[in-house]
Amino acid sequence: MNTKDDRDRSIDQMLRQSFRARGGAGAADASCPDAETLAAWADGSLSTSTLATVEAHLSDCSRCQRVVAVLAKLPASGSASEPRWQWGLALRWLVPLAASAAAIALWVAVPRREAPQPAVGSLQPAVDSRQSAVSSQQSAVDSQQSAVGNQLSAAKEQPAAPPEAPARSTADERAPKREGADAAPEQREALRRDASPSAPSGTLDRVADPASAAQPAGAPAAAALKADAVSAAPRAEAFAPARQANVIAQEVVSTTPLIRWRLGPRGLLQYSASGGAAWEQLSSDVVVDLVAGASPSPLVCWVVGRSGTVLLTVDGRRFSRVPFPATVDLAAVRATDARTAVVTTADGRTFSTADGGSTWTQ
Amino acid sequence: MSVEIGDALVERLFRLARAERWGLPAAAWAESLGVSASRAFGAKAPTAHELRRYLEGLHLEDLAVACACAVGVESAWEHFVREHRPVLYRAADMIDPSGGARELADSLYADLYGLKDRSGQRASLFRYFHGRSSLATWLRAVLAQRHVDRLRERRRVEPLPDEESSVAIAVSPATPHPERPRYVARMKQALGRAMARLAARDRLRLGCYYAQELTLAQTGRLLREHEATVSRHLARTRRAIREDIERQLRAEAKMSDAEMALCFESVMEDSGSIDLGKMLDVGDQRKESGLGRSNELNKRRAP
Repeated sequence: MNTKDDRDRSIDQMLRQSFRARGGAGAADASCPDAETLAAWADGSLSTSTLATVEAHLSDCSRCQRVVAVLAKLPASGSASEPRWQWGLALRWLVPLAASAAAIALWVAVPRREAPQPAVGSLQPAVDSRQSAVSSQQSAVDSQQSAVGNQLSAAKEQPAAPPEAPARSTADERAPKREGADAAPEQREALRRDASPSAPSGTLDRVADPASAAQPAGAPAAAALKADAVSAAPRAEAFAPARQANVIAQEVVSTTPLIRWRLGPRGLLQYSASGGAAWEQLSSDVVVDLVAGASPSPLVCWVVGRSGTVLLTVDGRRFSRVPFPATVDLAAVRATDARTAVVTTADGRTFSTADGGSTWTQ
Repeated sequence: MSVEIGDALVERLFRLARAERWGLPAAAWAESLGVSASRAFGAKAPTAHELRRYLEGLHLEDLAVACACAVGVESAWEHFVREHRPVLYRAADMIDPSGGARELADSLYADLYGLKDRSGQRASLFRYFHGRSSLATWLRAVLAQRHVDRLRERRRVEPLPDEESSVAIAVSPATPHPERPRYVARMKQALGRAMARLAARDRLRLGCYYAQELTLAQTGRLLREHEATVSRHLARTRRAIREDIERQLRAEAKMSDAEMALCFESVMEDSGSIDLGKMLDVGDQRKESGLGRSNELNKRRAP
């Protein structure tokens, strides 16, 4: 506990406890700004002096803070007062982006298809080759997704080059750049993202489902682009049923940033000890979608998924299934060590364990 | 105090707001502008320039719709129902997917229509909209306020949680240090003081992130910062708090490095709930003397 990072983590822990204990909103009092002032603050249309007054109030008033937090979780778009031309502008960007994404997808996918197929000598090799074809197409989908994501991020961030630029773009749900001291909050950020309700399942299922990789190469890219475009809408923090969850591969970073896991649809589980430069396939022994994870230390990682799936590793690589009391889709997990974890279900319930999953308390 | 607005300006704003669409009476429009300006400037009499700038900065079209709805213009209501009611219901569904907030949206809609009679007059909630925000954001803010207040009301009548459940999930510390309670208490006190010395915006950012559990992106949207900037600010604030606590432990509690290490270690395990309200009160008593230090803390942080 002598390093600054350790102490910063202590502060993080204390802040979490203190704000949690602060709990719900207090009562409104005469000093609370009216709804229009809070709305104007959220719209960014207050004068400098009023802004300072309102922020000073917000910093200490749990009730008003809660109100603006609810506002922040609501969609900002779709109002009548939003200029229609913004949609036109968005489409003007999306069309060329989709076209270039499709081109990249073709470029990535076509050489793979031209690779010589192994001779079908027996049933088993045939099955193997189908599996490898599916998995290679799945990685093509992954790479297309990341290519499209990068393009969108690049397009999105270009106009907002200065770090202090107003972050009005609602597509900013991606992981921010990693800073050593920010590892803990960013892990929680990843968890929170998991819990967000997401885009219509039809679009996303195509991305998540390996079977859909058999579509023409452009299709997954377009689907991924659509998924990203849909996810650009602000998300509420309320838990949505996991069936609608955006199950795409995502990373869980340990307290040592080099150590990370990737989890995703159909029990996808991978491990990297090189900060994501190389990935090792792990066996999860499950076929359900894995949706969230938490790693309180480099060797320990908790992973949750659909149908009450909870996995735990204490050596970084070998995951074993932890019994869970309910067959319900799980949405998020927080863990402090290999024994203590809190799992949130898609319907908003929380289950805690303090003995590595042997017993759970709701 | 009512603010005088020239006819020419009222007329120009009327055109800018496209208020003629609703056949809005000019007097009602002038009155709504006057009320808005009065609320904004309070007792202070604005200069003509200030007044013009303020009024031109309003969401005029939304104000015209609200004003027309408040006076009962049918076409304005049709427009509101077509364009804004879906926004209201969508927001309600997102606030509470189980449908609880729908009731609030319905009651809000009724209040907007002005079902509540007061001395025979229809009093619409629209009279509280003065164009300082967009109508859509205002509707969401009113809905959010009602939702938060209702949650608070419910919490007041809910029974306290079963104590057994918290016992069941409590982690039994292996071999607690005999001085641990003292260290934890000292850390809580130091944290309260450090928090009180933070700038309001830093406290707000911490509140959004830790108390309201907003994502970095959502926090950034609220504070008009990029999410990477939010992340950096949070890290810097934590560092500033840590440095402040270290200074307090060293200078005021005269602790050695080893004791300080034990202090930080003691709060890594569950140190029990910390009442931030009380902590901030502790800090408030020192706020006056700590203001200079607060500035120092802010200056010391990287740009």
